[in-house]
Amino acid sequence: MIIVPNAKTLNSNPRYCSVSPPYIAYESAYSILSRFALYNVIQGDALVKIFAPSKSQGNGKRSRLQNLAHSAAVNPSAIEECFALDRAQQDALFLVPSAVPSSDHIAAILRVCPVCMVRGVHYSLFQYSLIKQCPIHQVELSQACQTCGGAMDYSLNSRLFREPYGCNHCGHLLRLKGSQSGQSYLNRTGLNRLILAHRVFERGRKHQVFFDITQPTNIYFDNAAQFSSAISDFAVHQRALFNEVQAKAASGRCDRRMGFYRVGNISRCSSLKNPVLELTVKDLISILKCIFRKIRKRFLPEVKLSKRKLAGVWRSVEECDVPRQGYQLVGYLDWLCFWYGVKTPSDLCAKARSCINKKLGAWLQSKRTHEVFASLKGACERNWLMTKILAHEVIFFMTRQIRRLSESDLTCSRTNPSQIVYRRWVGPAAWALIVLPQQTACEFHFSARSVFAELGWSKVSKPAQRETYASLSR
Amino acid sequence: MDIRDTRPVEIDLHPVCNQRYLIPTFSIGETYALVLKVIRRRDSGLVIWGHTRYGKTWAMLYCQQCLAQDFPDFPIVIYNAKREISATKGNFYNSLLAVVGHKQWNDNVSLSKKHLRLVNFMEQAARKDSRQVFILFIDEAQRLQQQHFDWVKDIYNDLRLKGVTLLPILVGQQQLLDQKEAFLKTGVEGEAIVNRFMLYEHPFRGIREKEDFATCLGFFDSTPYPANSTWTFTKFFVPQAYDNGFRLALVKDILWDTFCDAYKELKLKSKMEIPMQYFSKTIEIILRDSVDMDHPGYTITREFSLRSIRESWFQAATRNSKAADPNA
Repeated sequence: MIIVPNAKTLNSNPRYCSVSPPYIAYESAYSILSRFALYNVIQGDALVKIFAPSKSQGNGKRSRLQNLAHSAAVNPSAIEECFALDRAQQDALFLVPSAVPSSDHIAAILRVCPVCMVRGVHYSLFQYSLIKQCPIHQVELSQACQTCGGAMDYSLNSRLFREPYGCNHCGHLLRLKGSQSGQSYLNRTGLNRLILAHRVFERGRKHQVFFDITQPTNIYFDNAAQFSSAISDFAVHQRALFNEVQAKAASGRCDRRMGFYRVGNISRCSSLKNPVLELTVKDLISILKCIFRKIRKRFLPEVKLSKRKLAGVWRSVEECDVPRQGYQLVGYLDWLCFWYGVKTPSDLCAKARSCINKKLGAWLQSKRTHEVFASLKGACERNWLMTKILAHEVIFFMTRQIRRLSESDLTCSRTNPSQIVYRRWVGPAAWALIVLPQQTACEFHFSARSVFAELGWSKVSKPAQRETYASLSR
Repeated sequence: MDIRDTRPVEIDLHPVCNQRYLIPTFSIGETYALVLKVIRRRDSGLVIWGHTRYGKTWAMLYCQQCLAQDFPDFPIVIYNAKREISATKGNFYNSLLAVVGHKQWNDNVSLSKKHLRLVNFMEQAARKDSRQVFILFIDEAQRLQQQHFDWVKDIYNDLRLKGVTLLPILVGQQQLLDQKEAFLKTGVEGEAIVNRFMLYEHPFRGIREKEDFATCLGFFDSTPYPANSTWTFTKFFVPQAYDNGFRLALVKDILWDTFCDAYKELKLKSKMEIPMQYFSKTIEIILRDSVDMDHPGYTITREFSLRSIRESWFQAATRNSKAADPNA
């Protein structure tokens, strides 16, 4: 039989060498581009030219040095042509905007797990700076070359791909060296941890999960000392909290012994047609009062506040020398002042009413602009969530402060070694909201760490209270 | 006129008019069977040789098309060797990269990088099929020098280490056999090349028998174009005659005898062998020129076929090839 040659077989389009494996679940753009570089023996500038976004993409300027965790850092058509990935796989190579909405917490330098690098894998999750360990091997992510200590910019630049899987300063591989490399296998539990860590991002992609970590800028600072201590501690606490809350939210379980709580609004779904009044400051004031009353009764039962006692504390409690036994009382007073929006405990009697309106009004306004509220359908749900967030923030900061007495890094007073210097602990508060997709109405779960469960009853005897008030009024 | 009588494409766009078709002769069938055997046994070393214009390149293309149909994931490429004054490794790798279809074949990079690119590309292409074989037809292989074979050997060995078999099939003229003799005389190095790439020869023939000739004519009567239509190649050019029972295979005697007469005019002692090039050209002229003469009683006359054979330059080319090589 006569054959009329197929034009496709005769003139095959030039292409790049396909990579093997074509795709590894959860891998990053760095990982797949390094594999491309290895198979095609194309490195540095030549590779950047292939994948650089075109000038027509975006605002007309070539954004070659955009963070590689952002999908705008590469040309999507080049990725499509070279790797034949489906849309979901292509999105998963990047964190922004598919997994997280903004570039907050995206590391600017390459972070690798040396054990994963033995297999030539770099997961996109590693570039999320709140994650400090590899979920598979539970080893610290490395931000610098183990040989020369050099760090590498995580952007589509020729230096990053000068040596695939290697350091661009010294050329050594970033993988674990020598005999230890045998640990690189992908074990089942490690893989489960990786999947768990990504589940949250996957939900985030469908706008089903929201994380919030209160930033230092969101928190009120009375003075420079608070600010500087908060800044120094912030990154560590933020990361730890993120890991904990993320894992708990992803697992769908709560652990009360560990101080986690998880509440759902399942029975509270409102009909969208029924108008529900928006939450006001007045509603929040009663919640706030209730929380403080309950904390005092439950954890500080012996503390009695009176106008006469409060009026004596006429200056800010920050940086005051206080007796160790009275630390919880001072912490309680300080955070009471914070939420009432007054500078000193004495103002609680005189200015409380006007200040609390202002303080909670500002808080309410700041939360209403949060992206999570745009996705909630009913006013009833929004109100419910607002009260949960307020309660979480109040309880979290307060309990964290009271628990600091058991920590060893409290500063002793210079004048009286038996006393300690009180500093307001300002750190991050994290919570996660998971919106369940099955429901036509709005069903969601709020997960957070309250530290409430770790807090015990504190004895503040009457003499200790007297001494504390005396030290604060001195 | 009935719409069904309208040709599906314009005459000038038909494969016969732009020589975009492949016709299987007996020798092409034999060649394809050998290629299949080579793949099955993973034997490298097949040499297909034949005289110029006999249709070796078309045979290669035919094998490529058939393999693409039978084994869709098989990587099959045809490398057309160029005559070079001195062999240059970089240029050779560049042209191989271009032939296999690497997008950056023309990059100015080191030889080792080019080599790696080539090996990686061929390896990944071969891995798409479970047999892990890469077929490389080298046309005009008599132009390759010993260095070229050494470089192909390097690629062959590297692919072997990766579990992929490179099957280079050399296609060229009779000088390939002389080259084989010459390599064997150079010693161990030459022997390694011969045993790897030139182990057994297959002569490629033109049309020698009347049955083969008739079979080829029959293909024009039976192959439709466009596929799945009723417009066979013959019907496309002479639809009225075709509907009235005209077939090229039915005039095989006239055509064969005219070829024999044309050959006799050359006064050559050897047996007639029609190179594919001139057979196809003759049929193309016959079909193209019959368009205006088409009527229900149309048939091919001896004079018309003789004129077509002459215009295909069969006689001139045969005379030239005998003059160039009296033993042919």
